[in-house]
Amino acid sequence: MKLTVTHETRYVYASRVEQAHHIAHLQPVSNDVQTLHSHHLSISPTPSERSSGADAYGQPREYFELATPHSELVVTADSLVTTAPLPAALIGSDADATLAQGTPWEALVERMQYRAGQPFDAAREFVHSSPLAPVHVEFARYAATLATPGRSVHALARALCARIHADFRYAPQSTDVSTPPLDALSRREGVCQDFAQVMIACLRSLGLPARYVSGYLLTSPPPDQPRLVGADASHAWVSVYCPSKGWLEFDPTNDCLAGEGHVRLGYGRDYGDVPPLRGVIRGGGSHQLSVAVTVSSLADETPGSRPVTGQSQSQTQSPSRA
Amino acid sequence: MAVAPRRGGHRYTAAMTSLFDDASAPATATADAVAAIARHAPIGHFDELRGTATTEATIALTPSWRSFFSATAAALGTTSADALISHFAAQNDSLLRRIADNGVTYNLYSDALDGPPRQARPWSLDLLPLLIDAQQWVQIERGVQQRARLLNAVLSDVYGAQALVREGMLPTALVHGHPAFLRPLCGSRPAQDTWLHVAAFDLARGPDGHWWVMSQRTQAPSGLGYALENRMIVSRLFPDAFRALHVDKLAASYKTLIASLLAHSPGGRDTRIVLLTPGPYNETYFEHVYLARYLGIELVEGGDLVVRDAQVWLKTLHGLEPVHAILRRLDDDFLDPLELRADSALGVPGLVQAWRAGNVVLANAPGTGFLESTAIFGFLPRLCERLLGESLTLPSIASWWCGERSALYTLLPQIADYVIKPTYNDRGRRFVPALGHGLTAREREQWVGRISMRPEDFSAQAYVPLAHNPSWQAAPARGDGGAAAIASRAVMLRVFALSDGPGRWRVLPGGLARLAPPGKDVVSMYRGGSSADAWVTSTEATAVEPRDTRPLSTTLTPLTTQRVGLGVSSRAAENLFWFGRYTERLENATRLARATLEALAGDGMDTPETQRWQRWIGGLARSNGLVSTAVPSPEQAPHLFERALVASLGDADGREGAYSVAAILGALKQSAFAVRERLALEQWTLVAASAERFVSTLRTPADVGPASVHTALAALDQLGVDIMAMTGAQTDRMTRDDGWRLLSIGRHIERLSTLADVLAEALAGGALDSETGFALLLTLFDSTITFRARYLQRRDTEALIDLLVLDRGNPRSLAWVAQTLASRIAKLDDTAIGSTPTLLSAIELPHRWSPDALRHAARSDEPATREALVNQLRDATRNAWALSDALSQRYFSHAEAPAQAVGA
Repeated sequence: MKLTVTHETRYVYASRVEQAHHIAHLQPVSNDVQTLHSHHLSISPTPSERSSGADAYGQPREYFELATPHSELVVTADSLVTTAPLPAALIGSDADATLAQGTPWEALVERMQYRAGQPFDAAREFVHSSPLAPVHVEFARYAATLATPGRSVHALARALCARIHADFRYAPQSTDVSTPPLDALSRREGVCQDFAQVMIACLRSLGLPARYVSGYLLTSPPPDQPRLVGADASHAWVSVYCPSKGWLEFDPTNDCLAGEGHVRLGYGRDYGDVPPLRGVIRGGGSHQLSVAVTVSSLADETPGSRPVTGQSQSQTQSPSRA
Repeated sequence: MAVAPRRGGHRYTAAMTSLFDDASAPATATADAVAAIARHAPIGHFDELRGTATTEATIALTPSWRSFFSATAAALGTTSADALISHFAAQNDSLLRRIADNGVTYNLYSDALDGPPRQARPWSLDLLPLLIDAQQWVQIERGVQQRARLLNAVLSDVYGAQALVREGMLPTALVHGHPAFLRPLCGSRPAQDTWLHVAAFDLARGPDGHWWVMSQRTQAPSGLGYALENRMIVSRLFPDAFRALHVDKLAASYKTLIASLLAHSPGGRDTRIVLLTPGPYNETYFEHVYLARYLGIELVEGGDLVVRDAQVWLKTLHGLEPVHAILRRLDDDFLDPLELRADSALGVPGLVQAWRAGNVVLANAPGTGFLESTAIFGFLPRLCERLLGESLTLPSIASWWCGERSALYTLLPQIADYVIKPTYNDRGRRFVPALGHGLTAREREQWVGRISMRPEDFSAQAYVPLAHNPSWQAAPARGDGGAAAIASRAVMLRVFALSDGPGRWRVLPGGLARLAPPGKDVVSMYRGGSSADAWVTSTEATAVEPRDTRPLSTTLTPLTTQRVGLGVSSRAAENLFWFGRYTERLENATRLARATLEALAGDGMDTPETQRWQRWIGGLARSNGLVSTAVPSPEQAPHLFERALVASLGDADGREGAYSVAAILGALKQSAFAVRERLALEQWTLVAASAERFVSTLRTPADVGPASVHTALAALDQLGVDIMAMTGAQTDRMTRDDGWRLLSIGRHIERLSTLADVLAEALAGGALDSETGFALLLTLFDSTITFRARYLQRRDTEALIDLLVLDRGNPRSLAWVAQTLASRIAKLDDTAIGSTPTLLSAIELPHRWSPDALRHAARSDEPATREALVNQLRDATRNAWALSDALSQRYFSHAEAPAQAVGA
């Protein structure tokens, strides 16, 4: 599906910021399920220094400095991407049968262990604790009953995705970007970031590798499908590895697989690796943050009727994550 | 004309050379005498003094130790053990004094991070050095050089191609799974691919005499400063032994480090190097100050630096100046709140980007912390083969990472023989290492359970009985009937590899020897350990390679003189400004206290005139903090006032509600400490010593009242002399740069505000109506002699105003003070001659006052005119304060808003 994405982040500071340094992860990646056609990042006021680079995973990131005093910062990312639909075998009634195939989870746990001379698997990087998705016995306990003998990794992930969706309350404002997933687990509530990080922590605590995906959802789905939660802001979900099937993405906030309605900004161990915009400012006092995200399908549009950023389909809210 | 004989000379050299040309009988006698009184190492530990782990009581001293004692004895001209022992006792006293005088400290962290450290403990240094002979040292040196090359190559791979992980040579758990592996650095590389500029290796000597690597420090190793200070102190105490043993000098290695930083720097010849410290509350802050001073580089905190255009800049009095290399003592996490720990207030936002862009050398590069894990040791031999094509020459102590199943299953049954250590150093997984052999069977079972749950979090290291070094024990501590003055303590040696140009490392000959507390087997400065100098010794005949034998400078002369950037950092400038203000405040307070006590003792008549000057002086004592505001004025309760004044003098903590002389001395000491790297050592010593002396002179037992007035006057007299030395050093021994200018401005602002106030209140309260009051005022202005010489016995206000306000030759007249202030500010501000500095455009100071108007006011008896004069003087005080604020805003810019992290 061909999608346009507009992501506007606006900081309004109570007092002037004298100097600021920022890093943005706002350019969608290109990979085997998504192609980036164009991307433009505009920053106001104009940065005194700006440079593009790649993060540890080769994904684009933008560094910029603001050396002149300012009381407002607006960062707008406009992107055009094509997302691939899920394979037919993963849609509808066949999906469960398809997911049940593949490597048994115990075999993957074994494969993640280090043994001298054993072949390397790049997924190992994502089996270890990370600050916002740590290994902990509580997560292992929460997921334990789903890890039945011989169950395929992806079937296990699908079941975990459903369990979290059923057990957790989606509660905007209940958490912030630094809420530890252990808190989210004990409270059984949070936003998409917490849902994703709890799921990742569960998988890792069982000894399975999982990645965090930062991205967006199509704001207005096709007429026959429900509008998904978290469609007006940044979204997050989980990518789970199976040696025989590759990586597959699960969205515990919506209890579904991530398909062509999901736009990927980047992958990391948790939120901390790919925050859309982070920065350190000097001065500024308190600030107000507003984020507006619009994702629309080009197929829906008649020429000239492309939605304008900030109109009907976008909302302003804070915090910025769904 | 006769040439004056040189002092010092080579009194001992001749005697010594003959002594060591043959192992003469006196040398043997000395060694035997020492052997008899030096305790043996415990069974199973290597005895450094005797060169063996054998417990045989008859074993003689090693050749090095024989030389050490006999050279010392020969210089004393005795072979008697008793004489040697009393010599050592005297030397140890001298050592302790040096440490106290130099203010060598080691901070113990306080619980509250925002408070001062609970204890700034004096640095603990043993009298006796660790001796390492050249043959052993060559092994260590080569091994450490190889390790530095190896670790650097591992870093280069791990942040680059990652072949080691892909080939299974390194587990991902120890790289990607380690919190100290910093993903923001992936794909970047430092100048010349040099990641490590300073690496430290902790070595232990086993019972068989072999050295083993116990741990390695790669982020920001401490000890380079303490090692140098230890050497400065100990080598001076044993000059004869030092020469006899041909000890390798240290200075060249430090020079190498600086040269290497220059060689890696993008700044070329104009490179500016700084030392980045976490600040005064860091446990090793003393050595940051010390090293910065020795290396001749600026000491900075994170707030002193700023990143603009991906380039690091130092905030100076005259704007931003580029910084090209940072020797940092801040751990990785804290370096950059933008890319690393967001809550770090100590770092510099954008620093990683500046490093990535190649605009600054970080010594060391960030991201090396994962190499500090015990778990990595087991993999090093194969990595060495793979990366260097060599076998690892200096072995690590047997270490296992439990995350590898085969290792785990081998290890668990023999856990009693190992020390269990955490693999990771993050808060959640860190624990205090457990000694297997000290565990009960039940505890051992618990550990096995814990390890089996999450094996990768645990590592194990074989237990080594540490070698014991002879350790001097002062008589009171002996407590064993006095049989031995030389005890033995477990020792470890921290050795430093310093970068020596791209791909090369040089090993500091010696290092920091660390001693366990008596009777303990775990070495830690933090847990009450001590330290010792480490001497790499040789006889000329066996010297393996040409060694640096240049004499070690006995004073701390900076190694480099950075000519780039004339700007003084804003922080240093602010500290110097306060150093100046506190110096002047101390002088004023001391004079006021002294004059007040004397006047109160002298004039006991209860007349209205007496009451007036007493009310005046009481007010001054209160407003200058000599007594608390609750203390009644002297004309109401003279004895109470006097008692309170004396009691507060020595009260450094302000417990009496006053902020008197001892408290000012404390503040002066603190500000001197903050600018230590810019002061001659004597200046610092003088401040520290006079503070100590003043407080101890006034100290009385708890059940007795404050010291007598007589004692107080004596203490103030002595302090007055010390202050003259301090101000003399500030005037005579400091370069006239902007830093000095701010010191001087600080002094003159303080002088102007205080003296204008003294005079204003004297005039306002009629204190000058009496002889005593008049004389007191002259004393406070330090102008008695001039006044008497010029005006004889006159006692009129006009003469007074002439000398104390208008006179351009009297360094305490308000016009002179203001004129000096104005000219210093003009120079600082680069103001054109003849025009007014912007800082002074809105502030009127006394040198602009009209002499005629003032003289007229002084002659007048009209109350309104007199009141106007008083107000004018009060304005001078207020203007001095306003100037201080304006200066702060203009020049000390790091007092700006704090940084905060934002995320969306």
